[in-house]
Amino acid sequence: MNRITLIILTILLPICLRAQELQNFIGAYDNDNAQGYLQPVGDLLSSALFTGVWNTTPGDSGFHIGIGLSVSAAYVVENQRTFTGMTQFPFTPEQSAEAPTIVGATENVTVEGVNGTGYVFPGGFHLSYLPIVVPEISIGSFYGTDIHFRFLGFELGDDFGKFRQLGIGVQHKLTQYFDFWSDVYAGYYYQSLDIGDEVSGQFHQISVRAEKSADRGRYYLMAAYQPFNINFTYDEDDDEINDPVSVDLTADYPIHVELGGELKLSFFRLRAGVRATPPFGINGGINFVFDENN
Amino acid sequence: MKNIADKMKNLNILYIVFISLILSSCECHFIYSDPDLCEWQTVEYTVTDDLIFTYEINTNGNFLEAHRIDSDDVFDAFGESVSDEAEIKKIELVGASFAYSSYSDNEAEKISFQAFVAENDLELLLMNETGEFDIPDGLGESFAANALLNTVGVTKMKELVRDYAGLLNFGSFDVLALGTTLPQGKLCHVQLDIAMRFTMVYEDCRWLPLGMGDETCEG
Repeated sequence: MNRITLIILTILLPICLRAQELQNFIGAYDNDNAQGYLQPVGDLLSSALFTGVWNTTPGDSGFHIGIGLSVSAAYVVENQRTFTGMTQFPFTPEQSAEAPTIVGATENVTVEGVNGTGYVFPGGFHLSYLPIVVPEISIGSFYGTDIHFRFLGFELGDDFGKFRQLGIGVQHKLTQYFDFWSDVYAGYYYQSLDIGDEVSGQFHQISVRAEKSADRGRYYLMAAYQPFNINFTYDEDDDEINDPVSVDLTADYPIHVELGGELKLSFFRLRAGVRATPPFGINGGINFVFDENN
Repeated sequence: MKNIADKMKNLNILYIVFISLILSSCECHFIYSDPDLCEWQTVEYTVTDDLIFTYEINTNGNFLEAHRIDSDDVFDAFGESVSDEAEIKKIELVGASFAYSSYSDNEAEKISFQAFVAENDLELLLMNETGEFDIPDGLGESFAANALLNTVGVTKMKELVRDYAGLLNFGSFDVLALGTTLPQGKLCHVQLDIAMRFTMVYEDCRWLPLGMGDETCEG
């Protein structure tokens, strides 16, 4: 049984489907085609997880605690909708075809073989975007450094085990050591995402951010590099005859450029960010910040 | 620090609202359980599985063996995840292969066969004569058989799989293996496995976020 698509679509994307309904989406695929079929999930997750991740600037005033809610969405770009799939044994002769990815067209693609045989590349869900909602906490500043946390965990029920998202990031103010026309921060953020024993993802972001303060807020430009690795392990046949299929995804779009700003209103802050590199992303959030000035 | 603690204490209500928002969104699998954001939509699903026909051949010459498939076999492979409202759109035969494995008392050297699909009194050629194959010692390799398939039998097989998976037929059918072993008179004791991989595409009505699926449907 293939539960990976179920997990992706019920939790990560997420939508309202039940367990066995989606087991078949990539059941027709082994490792190579499954990788192409699932690849957009990794890139969209990386975009959504990291757009707007540096939500609270370390206060110049010293110690602060921030609690916030971040809502992000990563938008599917056109070339994420298809991949070049290869037919697999026992189909002959071997052929390639432009097949839908999981975010691609809903219609399957079928190629014809010899003597009435045919190979079906399953359709996708024609998704336009991938949304994520995450609570977050930030604490700082200690010598120009603040620490950010994200955590979300709950039982999925059935036999899927636990969903757990964890994030920890550190950013450090570089311009405390030199003068520059804006404040400059270096940051590293790590986020992990685990679903039962079947999905394990590690997402990294290394960033440099230039920020200017305005009357009631700030605005920034950020460049980042975002590698990730996601492993999907699933048993095609739901039996013990065949080894489980293991699919590893790495970043096709690791470059992240982001523009954003924050509006400071008393003890809370409204913010927005836009990822300007594909897959494009947007982020909005609200943070309650308690520092020694408010 | 005291200043911060005081402010946080005064904001308990906001904090509770905030946490409640998070927890409620988790409890209902996020915002998409909201009826304003989801609707019943048709979605296409694909399931692929093998039907394997196994024959124990124990003969001194010619043989005719049957492997019976009933509706449960097909339903277990393809129909389990299909709801009553689902519509099967397509059945494809991805390909076929066969393999021999010999028992220790086997004395024959070569074997050939052809396969038929038989339902009631109808018997259709499914796989042309394979030609002579060496019988392996023990477990042998698997051979692709797509080039040997007969389109008439393939069409019948696809029709049977569709009917059985969709619970339109509760009967059974046979896949027959008719063949010869060499040299004649020597004991041929082998197992023959014919594997046929099918893909079924079906459409079902599911509760999905707006913008997904092909079109709306009655849930």
